[in-house]
Amino acid sequence: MQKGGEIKDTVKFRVKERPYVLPLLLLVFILTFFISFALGRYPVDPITLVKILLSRILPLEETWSSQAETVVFNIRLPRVLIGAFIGAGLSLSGLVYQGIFQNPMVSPDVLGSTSGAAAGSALGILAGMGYFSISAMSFLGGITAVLIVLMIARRVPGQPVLGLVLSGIMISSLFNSLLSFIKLVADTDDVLPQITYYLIGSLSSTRNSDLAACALLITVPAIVLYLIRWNLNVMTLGEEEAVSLGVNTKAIRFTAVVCATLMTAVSTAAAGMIGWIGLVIPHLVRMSIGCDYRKTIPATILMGSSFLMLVDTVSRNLTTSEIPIGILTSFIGAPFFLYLIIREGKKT
Amino acid sequence: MKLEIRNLTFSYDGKKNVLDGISTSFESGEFTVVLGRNGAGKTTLFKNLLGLLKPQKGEVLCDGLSFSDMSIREKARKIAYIPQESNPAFSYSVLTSVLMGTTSMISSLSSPKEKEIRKAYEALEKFHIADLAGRKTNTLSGGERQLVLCARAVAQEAGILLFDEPTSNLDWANQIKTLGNIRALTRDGYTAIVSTHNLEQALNFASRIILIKDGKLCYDASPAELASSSLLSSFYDIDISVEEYKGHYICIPKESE
Repeated sequence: MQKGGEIKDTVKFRVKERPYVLPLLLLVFILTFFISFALGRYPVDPITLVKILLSRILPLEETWSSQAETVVFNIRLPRVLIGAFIGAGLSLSGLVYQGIFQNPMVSPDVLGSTSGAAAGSALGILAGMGYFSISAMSFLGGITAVLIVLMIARRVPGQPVLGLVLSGIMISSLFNSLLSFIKLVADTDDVLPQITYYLIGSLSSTRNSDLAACALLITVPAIVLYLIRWNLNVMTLGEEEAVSLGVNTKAIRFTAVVCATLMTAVSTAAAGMIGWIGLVIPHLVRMSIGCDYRKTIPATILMGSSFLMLVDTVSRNLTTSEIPIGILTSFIGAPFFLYLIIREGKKT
Repeated sequence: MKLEIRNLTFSYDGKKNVLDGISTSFESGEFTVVLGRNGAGKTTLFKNLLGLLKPQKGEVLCDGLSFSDMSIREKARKIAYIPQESNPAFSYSVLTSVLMGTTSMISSLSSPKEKEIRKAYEALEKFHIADLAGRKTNTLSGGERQLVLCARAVAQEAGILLFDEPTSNLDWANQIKTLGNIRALTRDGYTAIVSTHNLEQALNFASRIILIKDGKLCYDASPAELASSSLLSSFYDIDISVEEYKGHYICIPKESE
């Protein structure tokens, strides 16, 4: 048998998987971040951009127009950051749901949180509520849907995962019906277009308060999920094995579901329904860096935020009138899902 | 490590007892095979031992301590489970899979460090599969996967090993190797409790055989005693004669004689 240092060296040598991926994703993230800032209806060249950003912490001579500063700090900064947070949050939710439900085809709306949030916000718009109340309604709708799902799933103790997925489908369908009903009774000239545009998924109407909510309710769950990263790995083995290995599966599942739902609900409240990202990004991450949550969590945060920042930049610059981001993610996500089905089919 | 079951009674619906007052104990170094026909209650017994199901009556004790007083992590330090086949949603490296055995030794908010990696590597060495450490588990053969699961159980450092039909998905040679490995583990002091449907392998490898029928423990003896009794025929509802050839038992159903 090999001794101490020799074992350590062998293990590190053999198990180190693609160590360049995370630094590469970080580089892509930084590049995308600056590109998103620079491009738009009012372009800001990269050097001016860096100067403007640094001017808040360093005493730099002002060589740029006040218009450029307003664009960077008041328009681009909240939008780029919110895109980064939502991209990271939705992707991380997908990654966590897929592991907890042991199904790589699961996406964040599996527990009905997206449908619940959509119905909640539509109800808020219908009731003529203000912007903050609509966001709060959206959030409440998402959380309510998940709480109902969790309560139903408790009635199926022998099959916890199946119970969650099936009740999630049922509750999603229920909230979708509620959404359709709200649309049916909404004023077709005024309220219906507002609901439709709100739900289509866009970062164009996000505000600084959304940024604060996303920053808090995506960062905190992401930290919690990173702390339980090893248990998330073990959970993918299934209930019996995870329990026999010493994992408190109920506590971990509850924590993971609550964290992922918070991230999904706050994202939907801020930007409407942005689909597919929670399915596409975790798959790309696993294809590039493997399945270990110790690596996939940081990789998903970087790739998810880069992806949404990039898609948002495209949506802002592709045509004169902005294309809602939800439409673009669906254009990318749907063919990717088809590709996954064909790939899985070939495997079996 | 001694595992004791006292009057274990379990029912899924509160009406029909799937386990009906089972009492027995398992000592260190024993290789016990649990035999039972489909639906006899073997899986339910294992789930009760693992704490996945809570018995309506009775208790399970390990070295005198009741499982009901232990946390999930404490139980994992006592009893390890080796499933027929592990099918994680995603494929991990062999080393990561074996490292999962050390989960109960680390904080819930932490991940394995150098000490655990060393333990996992030593467990791989024990089964001569250290060279597979970097391979993905979905690229392994059935026999190799079974060895990885055994290594994971060893890394878990639990004294009692619960094997659920460990040979059912393996070719004949790997079946013999797996049973040989289990026997070697019991010689190292582990307590092995193995469920199987292979009567012949049970007679040839176990040090003790338990028969479960309709949730009741109906026979508990050494393979030699069981081989010489007429109980097997009534247990399986088929005429079986057990012949001994060069120290090995061969089971012959009457119809094929």
